[in-house]
Amino acid sequence: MSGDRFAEQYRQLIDDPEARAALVADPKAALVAYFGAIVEGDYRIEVIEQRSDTITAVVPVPPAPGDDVEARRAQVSGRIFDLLHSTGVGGYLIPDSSLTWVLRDMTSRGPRQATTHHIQCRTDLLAFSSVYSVARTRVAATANLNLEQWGFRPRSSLARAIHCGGMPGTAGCTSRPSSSAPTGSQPAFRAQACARSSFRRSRPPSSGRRRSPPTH
Amino acid sequence: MTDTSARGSSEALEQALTDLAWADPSVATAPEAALARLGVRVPDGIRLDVRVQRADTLYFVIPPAADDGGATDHVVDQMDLWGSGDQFVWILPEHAKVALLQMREDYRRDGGRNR
Repeated sequence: MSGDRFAEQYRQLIDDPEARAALVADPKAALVAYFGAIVEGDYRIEVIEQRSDTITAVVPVPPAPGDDVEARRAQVSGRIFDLLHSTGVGGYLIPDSSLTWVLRDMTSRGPRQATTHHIQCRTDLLAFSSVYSVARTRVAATANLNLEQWGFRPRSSLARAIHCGGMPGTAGCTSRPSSSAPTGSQPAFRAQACARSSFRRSRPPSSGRRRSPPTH
Repeated sequence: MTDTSARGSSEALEQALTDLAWADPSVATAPEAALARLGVRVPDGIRLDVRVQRADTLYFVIPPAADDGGATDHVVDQMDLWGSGDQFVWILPEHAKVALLQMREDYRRDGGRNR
């Protein structure tokens, strides 16, 4: 299972007929719904569906009005790319360099929910009280230890999910990670950032000394 | 636009189809008829989809649906083709390569005859 957001999107488009139909009907709106936003501008997005019974021929961009047709013809002549797929290939054809950053902007975004959560994490980061607590929480989240007995308590559902190892039914867990919960390398980085930012230190024990982490 | 009738069968099917699509927008809506004009028959059971690229358009290629051979048990292979506007791109299932070869062969043998 890959955590790559494009891989997850392709998985959704294969499995979910409604999501697929929505993308075909209005690609921009569907991509905005998935990524949260895409670059605004005067450009189009068109979907090419791979089908088991279909050969798609994608013809080069024609010469613009007033351009030298023969020169354009010579420019594209012989430039042929055969893309044969077994169970499917996902990706983009980018005809013109002016569209480069439209696509690159999408690659830098996560799905909508992850993006929203990421913003929340960034907000939470402002609440850090000390480098010590950051480092300590980060290690604890990574090790999946019980932070509460250290005097930390989770603030968000994702943090709680991470806290409990993402396992439903784990004692003390009241929520599960959302569908966009991290499963791969880059979302996992987000998860770690959330873990760092979403745990805050409780008031120290009455003795004034924080209990030491358990030793294993 | 280019006069496609002046060209012989020595050129590739891709070039002939490009010339035709540039000259006649109806090629995209009736691709089988367009290929017939080039002396090429689309094999039975195969549907042809022709897109003429626009410089202001991103083309998002998506894998087949699950009920049409799309697989979800592994990560979908991914590609991005930059500068596709200067290229002719065929996208087809692997099992249809014989059909494509047949169309190319048809054009090499009969191309221009029916134009």
